[in-house]
Amino acid sequence: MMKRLISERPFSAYGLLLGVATLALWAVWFFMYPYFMRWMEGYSFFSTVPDYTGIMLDSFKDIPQYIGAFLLQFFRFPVLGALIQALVPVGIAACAGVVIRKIFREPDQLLWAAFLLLPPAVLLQLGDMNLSKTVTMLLIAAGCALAASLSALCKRNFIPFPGVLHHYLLMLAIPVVSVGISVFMLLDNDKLGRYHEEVAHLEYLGENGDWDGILRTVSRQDALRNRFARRYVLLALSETGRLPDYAFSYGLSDADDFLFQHEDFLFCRSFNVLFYRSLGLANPAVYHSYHYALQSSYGVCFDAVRYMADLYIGLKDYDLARKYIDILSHSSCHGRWISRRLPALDRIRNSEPAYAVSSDKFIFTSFIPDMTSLVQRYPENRKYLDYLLCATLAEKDAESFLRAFSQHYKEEISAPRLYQEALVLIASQNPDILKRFKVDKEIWNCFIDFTDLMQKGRSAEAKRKYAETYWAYVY
Amino acid sequence: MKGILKIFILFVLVYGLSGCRIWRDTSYVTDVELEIFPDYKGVTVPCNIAPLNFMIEDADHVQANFMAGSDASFRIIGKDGVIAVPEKKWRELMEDSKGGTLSIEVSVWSEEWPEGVTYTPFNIYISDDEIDGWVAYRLIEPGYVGWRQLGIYQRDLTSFEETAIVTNKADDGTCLNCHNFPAFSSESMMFHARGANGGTVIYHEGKLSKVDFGDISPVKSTTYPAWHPEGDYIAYSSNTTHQIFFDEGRQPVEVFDTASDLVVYDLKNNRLITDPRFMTEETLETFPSWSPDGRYLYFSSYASDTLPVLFSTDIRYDILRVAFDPETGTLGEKIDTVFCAAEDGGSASYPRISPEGRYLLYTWSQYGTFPVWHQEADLRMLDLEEGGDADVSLWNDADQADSYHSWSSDGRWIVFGSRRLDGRYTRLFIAHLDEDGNPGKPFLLPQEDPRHNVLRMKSYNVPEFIDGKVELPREAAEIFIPKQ
Repeated sequence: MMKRLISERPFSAYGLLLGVATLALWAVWFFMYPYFMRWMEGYSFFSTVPDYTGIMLDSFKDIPQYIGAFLLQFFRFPVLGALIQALVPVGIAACAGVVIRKIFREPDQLLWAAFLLLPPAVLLQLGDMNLSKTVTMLLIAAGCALAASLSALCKRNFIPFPGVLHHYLLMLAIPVVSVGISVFMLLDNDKLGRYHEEVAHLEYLGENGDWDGILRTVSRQDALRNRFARRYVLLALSETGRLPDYAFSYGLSDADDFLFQHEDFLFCRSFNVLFYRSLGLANPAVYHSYHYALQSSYGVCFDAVRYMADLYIGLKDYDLARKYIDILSHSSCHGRWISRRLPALDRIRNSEPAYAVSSDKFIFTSFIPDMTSLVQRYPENRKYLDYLLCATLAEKDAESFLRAFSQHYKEEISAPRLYQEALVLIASQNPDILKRFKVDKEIWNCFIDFTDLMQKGRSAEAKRKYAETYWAYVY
Repeated sequence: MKGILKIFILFVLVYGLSGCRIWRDTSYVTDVELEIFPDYKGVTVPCNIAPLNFMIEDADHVQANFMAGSDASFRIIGKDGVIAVPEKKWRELMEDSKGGTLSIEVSVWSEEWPEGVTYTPFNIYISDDEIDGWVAYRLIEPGYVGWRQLGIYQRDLTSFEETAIVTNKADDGTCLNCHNFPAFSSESMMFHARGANGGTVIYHEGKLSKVDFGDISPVKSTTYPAWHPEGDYIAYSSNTTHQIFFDEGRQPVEVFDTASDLVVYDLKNNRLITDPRFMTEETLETFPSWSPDGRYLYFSSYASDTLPVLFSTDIRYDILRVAFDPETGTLGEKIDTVFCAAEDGGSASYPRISPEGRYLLYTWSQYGTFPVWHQEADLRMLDLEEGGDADVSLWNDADQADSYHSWSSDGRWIVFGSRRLDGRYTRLFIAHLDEDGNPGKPFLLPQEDPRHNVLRMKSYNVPEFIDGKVELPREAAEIFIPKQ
């Protein structure tokens, strides 16, 4: 049937194959990279405000990036994002088809050649986060198609092609192979990669407060392998109050594992925004939002603007919240997002901003001093205390741990598991500790078993048996 | 039948194209004060200013009757709640109203007033005093340590034209800052370009150059400039600046210096003049500014035996002045204290002498040297002739920072940055000072679409009046691009 279709109606066959290519590419993008596409939207920016247009369209060469930014807005909806990502290379192939039909003799038999552009176009898409390269190629292809169409007004179908290339098998094989290569490149690429999709997925879960989702998604191996996964899972543990039970189950080994103190790569700043938002510290969250925006090639990005709108709504700062929502209202895909926030915005319209009293404490020095300062100011805040205690444990700083612990835990209170394990460990050097703090008998027995195994030289077994304990981390 | 259809289509077209913008009569009159944005009620404006377009929030329909004196001059029907006056009409109105009052009666139809309401007219005072045609400023994100796209721009105050003087588009790793002009002249300009191939870019007497002060002196870099009015010298402070970040509170950041000295660059001889008195570790000198005759150099100063310190809220700057001899390029022996922080309280930044030499305008804050992040920062003015303070509290916002300011060439206007709109994004306000020293209510820099003031995603920095449009050679935007 295919042979008949290709032989008798080659143009229809060509159209059908373009459709198949679109569907195949769409499916790969939609099913394999939905969160990465969402992230691409968040990392981009488009607006009809004059400032943005003025800066973005400063010269002719800015046009592809401007068009790319416009298209990226729709990546907020992975169905549309995948469609755009599929249509761009297929559009390039379609433009090549127009050129073939206008300038070659017996063109319909040669339309398979248009598919040769599919793999390079897909290759160009990989890592093209602002779509400028792909849009440039699409514009060039469209320009060629237009030029061929115009030249055909004077002279058309004037280039002969060897008859041997007019074979129906080529019309079938070349498109299939081209689509296959394109799909393979998308599935097996280093630039885009599953790694980015994984992190973008975690970011999505974090932004939506799906902490259990993060805990379900990230395994211990993931946390050890992927520093983003480690931080997201630690944040999820903190949010669900389980940090002092499982912090060392996910590879916590350093106080800096809780956030990106000294790194500035993609995804770092957005994580830091979530981290500080979780701590209820607006100033550092805004700080990282600004820096996240500045990393984007637009100097501003949707994610950062959305973060700041939400942060300022939380602070009851109507003027700034309204500003960012107004800016977003000049983009194409924020109607629902804005309408969901309008009631909250309206409620704070006449409110006094709810900024905390100015502190004389500075942040961004290093994790433990920052948390110590917060714990001193907010002794009742469990999150701050857990971060401080877990950080001191990660640093194996028994003295600091004991100092903070003894200030906030009374002897009659049963402390979380990791803290009890640390107390037992400290008690092995300083038994008086156990007179001051309560340790569950079960934990004490486990520790005896653990030390027994260690003393017998069976450390591997001890660590395996008590893998999630603080003792396994220390030894 | 066809005729009726044609009439119907014609009606729909005419009505549709007019956007229902038909002058209406209201059912009510109220003496409730009208809320407009920007707040142009009762402001004093120069007679050559661009149209003061304004908007009424949540209005379905708005119309305004502009009256010079008691005569109805013209009516404007708003669109999307915005009253936008055509420039030609505005120009004629300004000419007619010069030295008088423009009265504007606004009628609004909204959810609250579906039948329409007419508000009591508000006034705008049209001063005879013209304003300098242009103002230059930097536009940058109001972040902390980073930037992406930034540039130094200029705005024609008599229209809405805004153009870039120089931007970092060619290399967004470069920071451009601290632009300055000699005596309001648009013929000369300097700015710093910070980056791998940075330096101080100077355009003077038709020549473009880039100076690396490290090449001609032990001073590695310079910061705040003040171009001598006669054009041959530029005074600089050389600051070692730091930032600290507060985890809570409305003020997110504090910017401070651990060292700052004063130097004077001699353009003719390409040499840096230093004076050991202003190069000590124990004293911080910053924000140089020349008297209009160029015979005195004013600056902010803080002295302490304990310098350098990381940061302290006890750091409070005085304003000092020292004589300067342009013939020899030397600073005088005597150093006068003009503002004494210990006696007067607070800290003084950006001393600026009015062109006739009578007033010293400065930014007051409780402490420190970077008032734009201080909510309490206000403009204050010393009367150098009469002595004591001149009251300019009308220029200040009670809650937000009012900061960097410049005088117009005739001393009748000031432009300053204020964060009063939202607490974060600095906007430019212009205010009048009459010949008796009476301040007028400041007004926001007019924009063709008033919403631009809110939607603009960058802050205004360092507004400086200039007498015309700056035209730098094209190389000025490339001179700082890092070499491959």
